[in-house]
Amino acid sequence: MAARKRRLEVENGLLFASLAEQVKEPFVQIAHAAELLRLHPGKNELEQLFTTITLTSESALKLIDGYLLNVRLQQASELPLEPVSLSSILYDTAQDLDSYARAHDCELDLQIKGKYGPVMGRHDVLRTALQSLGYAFIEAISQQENHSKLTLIARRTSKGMSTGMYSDIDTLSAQLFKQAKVLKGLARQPLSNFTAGSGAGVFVADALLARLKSPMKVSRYGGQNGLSLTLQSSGQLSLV
Amino acid sequence: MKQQTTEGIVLSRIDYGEADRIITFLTPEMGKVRVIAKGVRKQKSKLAGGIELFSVCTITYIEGKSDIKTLVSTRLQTHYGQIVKDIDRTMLGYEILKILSKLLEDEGGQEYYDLLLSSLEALDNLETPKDLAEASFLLRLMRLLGHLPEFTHDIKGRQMSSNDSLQFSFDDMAFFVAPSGPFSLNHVKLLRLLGHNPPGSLFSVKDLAKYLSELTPLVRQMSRQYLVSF
Amino acid sequence: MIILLLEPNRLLANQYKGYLENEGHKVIWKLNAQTGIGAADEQKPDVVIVELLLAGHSGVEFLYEFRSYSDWVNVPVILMSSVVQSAAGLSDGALQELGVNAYLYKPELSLEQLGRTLKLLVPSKQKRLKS
Repeated sequence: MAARKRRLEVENGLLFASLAEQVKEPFVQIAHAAELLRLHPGKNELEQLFTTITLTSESALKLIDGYLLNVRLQQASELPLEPVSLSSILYDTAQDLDSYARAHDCELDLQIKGKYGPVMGRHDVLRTALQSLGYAFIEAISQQENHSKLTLIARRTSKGMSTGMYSDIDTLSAQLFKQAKVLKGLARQPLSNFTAGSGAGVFVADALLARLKSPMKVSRYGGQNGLSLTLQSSGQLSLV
Repeated sequence: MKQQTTEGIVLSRIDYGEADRIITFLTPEMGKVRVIAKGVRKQKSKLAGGIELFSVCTITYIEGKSDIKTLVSTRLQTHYGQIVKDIDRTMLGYEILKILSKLLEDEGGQEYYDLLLSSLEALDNLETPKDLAEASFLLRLMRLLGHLPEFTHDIKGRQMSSNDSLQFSFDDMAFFVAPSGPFSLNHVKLLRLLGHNPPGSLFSVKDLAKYLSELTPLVRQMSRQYLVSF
Repeated sequence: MIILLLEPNRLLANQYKGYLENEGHKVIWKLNAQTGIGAADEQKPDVVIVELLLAGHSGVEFLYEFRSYSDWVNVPVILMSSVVQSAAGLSDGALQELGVNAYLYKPELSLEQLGRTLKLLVPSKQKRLKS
């Protein structure tokens, strides 16, 4: 018990360090937007300031929420799962990420393959995890010279319902992800070949999804690399 | 013209002429080897001029009349890519290359190559504390150069005991007993180990992090007496 | 003056670019170290502003490469980041070795301060460029 508590404390500390580094830039962006308005007062600058504040504070707050949710969930030894609609979670996530993606010149592509019933999971955990992951992917994509789009996918596989995010960034590999999870909070850029900065959104998502016993892994789909997880179908009949 | 192939680690690169670079490698048999890489600057299309830093390469060159050989080809064997994930380690890695590049003239050979290789390996393993990699490199280098201080006896030639409080004299490059000295026999034992063993073999030392944090400034100061400024 | 800006964050880059261009400078913005080297090769900058943390090769690696070319040895460089200099393990000696003229901590840096730092580094290139 004490060993588990100690391990979680260390994990949370490292995750917090990663998160703390990540949220500095949104504050810097807001400060600069305010400064630009002061230097050149005008309608455009005011609009820019509002947009910057809205977008950057939203992504930072979601990251912080994700971290806090993870800490709260650690109090429970077992997390009860419930039937959730994966497609509606993905639709909502895509909607949440849309304006952030546009601001970063990143296209969002939602692909929900086929019809299926609910899966066993937790709505709050999945939604928060996918949002965090989405923000991290969008930032990573926007850092590429020839960036393209972020693809959100849900599809049936032999192991269950798979959902994940994919992009053209081919440097994301299983080995990189495995090493990065060990290095988060310790190294400056654990995912340096994927994104500049700490990549906190990826690690927050990973921590949350681990609570569902659905760990993320690097996978390939449609010629793209990404991170995905697999959920089991609910035994309940779905009412259409 | 005779072609040679050897393993090597890049120490430095400088411009030469309009389009060429002179690259200095550290090799196991021949120590420092300088080669001209022709035409690599015509297109600045690859970072590190096509030859990665923090890597072991197999290099093939042609011996010429002068001291500088002509590079024919390089093939990457091992790239220590974890080092650059952390700025601190990147900077330490570059410092190590710089120190060896400046210090080694006619020396060289297997021992210095092994020192560099084990140091890069340690840095590449992000679970190795950076202080450990740094202290181990500096002390082993000092030993190879014949400058490693006396760690078995104190300044008076007496064997140190576990009850002694110790201070280090930079004038005499030895420990002496001092009532409020910050070091103990355990510190001295660790210094001895660091000067003779690669970092990987020292993980099991008890309270390693604590002793390292106390010893690293001392080791840096020692190295400044004999090596380039660090 | 011609400024080469290496900044992976698009929103921040647009803010720096917008401010500096308004001050009369030409800003060439690149996202990473590799394209930064290529851009400097195409048009030699009067000053380089580089973020320490870039995707792929870091700002330190960029500078080691950049400084290894004799044409660029004397180009002033501003290194900046959301990481405090001491936390980044960059001693003053290391910065000197890299030829870094100023290390700026982004959370404490206003756009006007950035502008003033540029003026101090490259005083002879303050003439406004015609658009």
